[in-house]
Amino acid sequence: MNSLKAGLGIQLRHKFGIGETMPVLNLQLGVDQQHYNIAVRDADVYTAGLSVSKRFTPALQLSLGASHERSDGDHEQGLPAFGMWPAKSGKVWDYSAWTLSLQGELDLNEASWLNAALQYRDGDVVSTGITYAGNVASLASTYDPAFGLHAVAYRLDARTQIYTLDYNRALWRSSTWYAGAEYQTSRTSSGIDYKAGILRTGFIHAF
Amino acid sequence: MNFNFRTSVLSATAVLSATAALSTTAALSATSALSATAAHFPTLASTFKAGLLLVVLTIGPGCLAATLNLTLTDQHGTPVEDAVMYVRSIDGSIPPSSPMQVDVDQIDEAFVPHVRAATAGSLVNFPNSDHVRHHVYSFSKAKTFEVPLYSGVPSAPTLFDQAGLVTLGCNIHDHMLGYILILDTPYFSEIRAGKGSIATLPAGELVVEIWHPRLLDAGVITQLLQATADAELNLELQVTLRPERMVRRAPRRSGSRY
Repeated sequence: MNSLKAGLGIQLRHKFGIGETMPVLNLQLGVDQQHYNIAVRDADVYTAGLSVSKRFTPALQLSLGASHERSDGDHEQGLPAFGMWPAKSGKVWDYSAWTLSLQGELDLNEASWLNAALQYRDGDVVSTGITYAGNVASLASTYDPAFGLHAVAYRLDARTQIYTLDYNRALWRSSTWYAGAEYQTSRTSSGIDYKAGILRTGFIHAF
Repeated sequence: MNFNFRTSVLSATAVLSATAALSTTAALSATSALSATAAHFPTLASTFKAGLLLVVLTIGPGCLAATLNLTLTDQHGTPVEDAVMYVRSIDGSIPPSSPMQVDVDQIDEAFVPHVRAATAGSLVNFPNSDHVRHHVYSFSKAKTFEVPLYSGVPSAPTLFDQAGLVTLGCNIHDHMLGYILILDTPYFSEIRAGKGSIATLPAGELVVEIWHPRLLDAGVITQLLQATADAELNLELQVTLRPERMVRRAPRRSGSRY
């Protein structure tokens, strides 16, 4: 699933006063074009977010935010009817969701800090399986070659909680190494539960 | 406060000035260490006193000023940057200082220099050499001020009329931190690459202080020295510094460095 993403974004930031403990209001708008080597996933993604952050101590900063995401997929060909399974729209990657988030950043020492976030997402999720099992409750379904010839991607309405924790270490003034984990748990409107865990590590250099 | 130091006090040498008609430089050669302070200040390692009386007898009126040279390293042996050495008093008092005009620039989202020293009553300019605008401010007791969002050179410098430590910040870039140490003494030196020097010091008992923003105990290091006329005092100190604070400046996954 190699992909290329290109987009535009704008961020407006307003600080309510002078000093590092003053609250900051952030507005972010963005649009991205996502292209995958498996073209069924190609989509234009629009995001809008509003957050308020505040540093409470020299080491602790919290932020509260809300965002909306909408994806307009290019793919339209859905699954045909098959036995008891009805035909479905192929607009799997036409989805939208609202997310509320609470994030915190805690400095551990002069060179490292922790990020933690709790997000509540209300909207569509996309999953891929090798059977039609999820298709019954799905809002749209299509073949998903990224996972094999018989894989089916389907979109469901769901509520998702996302928990993330990252450790970050400043290597030099303009470089950071991070490692962390993310855990997602979703319940669809049809009663299907999904759980996923992600481990990640990376390196950032700003120039 | 953990530090190790060695001091060596060198005698006056041939630099005894032309004003001294009593030319006894031979007797004041580098082999004699002038340290009358040894009896009073056990921190000095010198043990030579024999030359002192000779110096007193041979240096006439119009004696020259002393020079204080500092070599400062941290606990890793690295030359220290961004420290300030100053003479707090000479024989219990200090002459008045003259105001100056100095700059604190903003380059690559950092105050340059990170530490600046100036005398009370000085004017400080804050040119912005960055490609982004900055909003300089301070809430320090010695000087509370702001230079609202700007680029280039502000229209007027800022007057710092009270002695004390002024901590600088940028309201846009929270990781930016700088210091201006406003002093009420004319005898001071900024330490760069571990070196600093104060010349034209009058003779007397010197109370010398060294300040750095990351000194482990967040204070100053105090040294008591005895300067004789035309003495060259060489002070070598090693200090323990806290690590540089990089958390705020380092990039985040969100792309922000605020």
